[in-house]
Amino acid sequence: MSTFTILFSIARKEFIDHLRNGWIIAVGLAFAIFSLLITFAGFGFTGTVGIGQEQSTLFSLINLVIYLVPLLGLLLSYDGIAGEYERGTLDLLRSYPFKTILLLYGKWLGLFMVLASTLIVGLTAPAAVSIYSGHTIQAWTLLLITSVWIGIVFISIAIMFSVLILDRAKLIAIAIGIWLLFVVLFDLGIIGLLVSTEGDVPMDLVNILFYLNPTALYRLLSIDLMMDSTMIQQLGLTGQIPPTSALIVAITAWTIVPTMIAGWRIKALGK
Amino acid sequence: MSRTQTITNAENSSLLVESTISILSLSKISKAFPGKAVLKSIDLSIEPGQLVALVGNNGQGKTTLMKIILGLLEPDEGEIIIDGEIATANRTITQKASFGYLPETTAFYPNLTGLETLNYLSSLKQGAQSRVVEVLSIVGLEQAAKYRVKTYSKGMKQRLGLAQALLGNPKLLLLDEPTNGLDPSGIHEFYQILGQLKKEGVAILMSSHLLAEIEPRSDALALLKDGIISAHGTVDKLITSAELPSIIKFKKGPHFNTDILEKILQQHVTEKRYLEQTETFVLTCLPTHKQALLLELLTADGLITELIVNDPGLEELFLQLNNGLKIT
Repeated sequence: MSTFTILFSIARKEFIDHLRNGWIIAVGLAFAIFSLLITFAGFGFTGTVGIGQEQSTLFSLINLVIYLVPLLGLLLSYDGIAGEYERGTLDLLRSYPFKTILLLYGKWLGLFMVLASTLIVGLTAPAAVSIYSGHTIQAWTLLLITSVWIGIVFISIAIMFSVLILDRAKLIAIAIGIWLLFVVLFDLGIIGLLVSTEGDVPMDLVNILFYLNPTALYRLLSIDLMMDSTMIQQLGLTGQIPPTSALIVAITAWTIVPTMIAGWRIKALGK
Repeated sequence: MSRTQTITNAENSSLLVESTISILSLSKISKAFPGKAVLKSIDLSIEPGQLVALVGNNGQGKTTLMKIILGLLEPDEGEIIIDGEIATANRTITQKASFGYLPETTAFYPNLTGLETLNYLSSLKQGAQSRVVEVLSIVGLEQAAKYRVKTYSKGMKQRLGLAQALLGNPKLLLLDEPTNGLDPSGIHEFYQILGQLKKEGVAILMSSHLLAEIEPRSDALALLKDGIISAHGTVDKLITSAELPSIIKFKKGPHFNTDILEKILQQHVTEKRYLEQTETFVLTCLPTHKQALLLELLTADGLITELIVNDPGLEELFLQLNNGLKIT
């Protein structure tokens, strides 16, 4: 039996299992409604400050993604392995004739498929409206790719904790905690730091702090890839965004490192 | 197939069954968790077509032993041989494929149907895809297979669990409390399935608390107590070795004679009672005297009537072993 057959069997089961879980569809639709509202609001918010319709819409959508997609990734995945453990299927699958690490990768792949599908559903309608209005497909494609990617980062983080903790009750609290930390408290902390020091903080330190938060990296990368120079200037970020390659490497590290830790732990189960 | 069985003293930790053909052989397996030694130098062998029952109170290490056999836990000491090959630390895919495992409780995936669940699990086992319909039929879930698992009763989930254990033609089935939640007819059907599998040469290691269920169906029994196998062998041999007394009841016959009865009882009986209300004698007799006692009672013309002999069963043996009885 090939590794890929096993991998895709696990991913397929994960996808079907979540698809039948109604709230994933609900989240996709909610995302679509929010995105459409933002898109139409973006069209109404044009001209006066010199920002193009598409730019304002995309910037608002980037912020929507920062709030919703990490939460979606975390809630999708927090019980990925712990759920198997509590159902009794983790030991069962570990007794099966395949390498246990494939269970982890198969889960990861399946959750990626669920997240990508949800975001495609959520972004298709506003993208269609925008493209129909004469805007390019490129920025929307980039938005989809980066949004899925930040979701994957949080899937990786959630799976890592799922393998380490193996307790769904604790994990739901941890998932909410991670979301609050990275999406809400981190920005507040930076603002607090700047206010308390009256802005007397070296920019290098602020940049280093950004690398500790994947959502901050995502915001910077999305702005770097999708916003034009006028928009970047309006946002006060001219010359402040780290190199694209550094951002990509950092987000890749946020994807790979938690997955590696999860892989190490799942292989060590029972030892 | 030749087999030699040696029953050793319980204080020496276990009884060793040596076999010329074993699908599984454990030697001196030990496992400790922080603050507690769960298994101490366990020896056990299982041959093709044999059903070995693993019994013991909760917390005696039955599930831990099963997990070690499956490779889910590593033993601290000892050796595991699967089909003639050492498999103590790392399992090959082939060795893993030789097992079928039914955990004590498995909820499976509520949003998948029974058929989808088995199709999924079969895709993870070598050569199992072609057996999905067959195992559904074996466990009697053909009709229910199209419904989602969340609608299944506990018994149906157990059947589904057994079905997945049968995927891939395993040589050894490890069943952890398999009849939990099954109704009486389900239990009957379950053992019929196991009987058929035994005929096909499948070895079965089954843990259970249900002694009355195991007694007539197991080929051998291993009692886990305080981390050791305190008794191992066929139920009959263990009961004989334990020298548990039989209870013999009878009423006065038409030619009853107290002197003759007393003379017989003096030679063979350890305890005697007379229940006036039912006019019944109740005797306790060691197995070494039972045959002679019955012979004398039955040949004394008209001395007794309505004779009933209650031989000790597995439950009695289990209780006595748990109370510290040593088998030599």
